[in-house]
Order: sequence, then C-alpha cells, then structure tokens
Amino acid sequence: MAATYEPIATTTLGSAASSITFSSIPSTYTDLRVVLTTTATSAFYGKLTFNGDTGANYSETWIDGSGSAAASGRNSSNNWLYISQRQIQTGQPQLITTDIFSYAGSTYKTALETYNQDQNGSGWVGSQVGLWRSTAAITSITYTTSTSTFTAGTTATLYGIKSA
Amino acid sequence: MLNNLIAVLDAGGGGAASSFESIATATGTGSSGTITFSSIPSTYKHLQIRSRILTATGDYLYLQVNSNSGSNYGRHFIHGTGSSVAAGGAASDSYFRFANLNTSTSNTFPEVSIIDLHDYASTTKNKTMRAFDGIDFNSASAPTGTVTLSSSVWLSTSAINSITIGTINGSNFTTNTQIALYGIKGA
Repeated sequence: MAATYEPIATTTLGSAASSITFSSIPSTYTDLRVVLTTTATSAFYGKLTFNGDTGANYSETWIDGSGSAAASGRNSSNNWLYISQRQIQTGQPQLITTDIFSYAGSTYKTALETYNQDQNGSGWVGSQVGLWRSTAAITSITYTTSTSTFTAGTTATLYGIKSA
Repeated sequence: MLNNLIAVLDAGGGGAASSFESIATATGTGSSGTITFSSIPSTYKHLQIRSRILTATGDYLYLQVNSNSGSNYGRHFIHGTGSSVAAGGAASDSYFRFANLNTSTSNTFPEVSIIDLHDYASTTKNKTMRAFDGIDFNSASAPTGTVTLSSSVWLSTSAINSITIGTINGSNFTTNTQIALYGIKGA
C-alpha cells in the first residue's frame, strides 16, 4: 500500500537565502502540507505563492494573539499569501505550517496556515485561511522574503497526504 | 429531509507500516447534504478528518457521531472574521458545529477543515474533538471569510463507529466536495 502521509521533498539552507521553492510537485496526492522552521537575518514579512503566480489572486483572513491582545484581519486581492501576519524575527525559530487542500483539483485553492514564535518575552500564535483564486493544479510552492533572508539552517519539508 | 451518502470504506484494511492511514474518502453527489463514514474500525488510536466543502447554497456545517442527535455535545470556539475576534460556546447541543459560525458555505469558495477525534475508540472516556476551519471570499464586505478554532465534547463513553458531516439547513454538497477520514495508530 502506498504511504498515506509521506515527505516529498526537504530543503535545509546551507546559507542564507531569499526564497525556497518546491517545484514539479506530483499530482498524485490529495492534500499537501509544508512545515517550515526559520529565523530571519533581519526581520521580514514572508510570502507564499503558487505556480509562480504573482498576480492579485490571493487573499486571507487571520486571527492571532500576542500575549496581550487578540486580533483579526484580512488581506484581499493581494499578490501573495503572508506566511505570517507578523514579521519573521531574528533569534528564536518561527514555526509555520501550511495545509493545502485538493491542490490538484479544479476549484479555487484554500489553505489553512499556522504561525507561531516565542522570544521568551514577546511572540505570536496565529491561524489563517488563505485563498488562491485559481483553478489550476498546484505544481510549485515558493516562499520568499519581503526584505532580508531566511537564515542558514532554515528547514522546509513538503508532505503529500493521499486519501483512499 | 436529509439524504445520506454512505462512504465506501477502503477494503484494503491492514498490512501497511504507516501510522497515518487513509480509511475512507467520500465525494459529494450534488443531491445530498450529508456524508457518513460508518463501520469505523476501532484499531486506530485517533482519527482525523480533512475536508474541502462546497455547497449548492450557503449553509452551516455540523458533525455528529454514532448518529447521536441527543443533547450530548458541548462546544467552544474562537474565530476571526477579518475585522473582529469572537469567542463563545454552547452546551447540550445536538451536534458539534465545527465550522464558521457567522459566514455560510459557498459553491465557489471552498471551506476547508481539519478535525481531530482523539481516543475515539475508548469505552471509558467521553470524547473530545477539535477543529481548525476556514473560508475566505477575497472580499472586504460580507461575506468576507472566517477562520475558526473549535473544540467539542461528546458526552458518551461509547466508542465512535460512525461520523456524519452535514449541512444544518439541508443544502447539498457539490460534486467538488471531498471529505477524507484518516486513522492514526498508536505504538
């Protein structure tokens, strides 16, 4: 029996980089999941795009807590999904997960994302739903930085989840 | 009246080394507002449901176990609407209302969920479930979108052997709806 939940690819940065891309993603799974742990060379906002699409085809609704306040917001007709609504910081690793449902299907693509970081004094825990208004199958996933770079040691693993 | 679509269980059964296994998958038919996974084996430790749902008309989603529609579910939630944060709950409900509570489903914008049912086969404990759900409409005016984290207790020590996901007001799942049930083994 083929594995239901298996790693497709892992990237570990040997040196700082401004992007991480998973390409040639097979269409044989049902859902995809990416687990990313990273810190910033200097604080930046992280971006997520699919199939190299940088058009205004992304939107999201989010909720997060800072330890002193809860907040919710939305971004519409954006050129990417934010991987975190808060800047990726230096210091402690930030954990980001992205679940993409029916990524090879013919409807719009919806993802559930989580982001959390704790600096032992400040930090965030957040969840969001992201929409890519495209009916194309996802064949590549790219994480990029708004400024600065992902530090060396950043790891990202792409998993495939296959239903019966 | 709700019509049931009974999901076909994978006849493959055991033998795989993986601890995360696909048990069954159901696809919407366009003529039913419920999907039921029945005869769930008790051989896993936990269950996970992953769903992408579209409905013919806007509606709200629920989960029931073992066809139990008595006042045996409690729930709590926190959600973000894009402009505000809200939290709430309900006691003695007839189902686990796990999805968006202020935004209905859509036939264009998929609503997605991950639902975990821990220790589902226990016969000595009540059952706790949690859900992570979201839908986004790329809109600054209603409907805008909601991301929801929710928890529920099913006040029964019976092992869970069936799970039904449905629409509260009877809207049909479109044929682009897919709901998958996975089993997670313990050591």
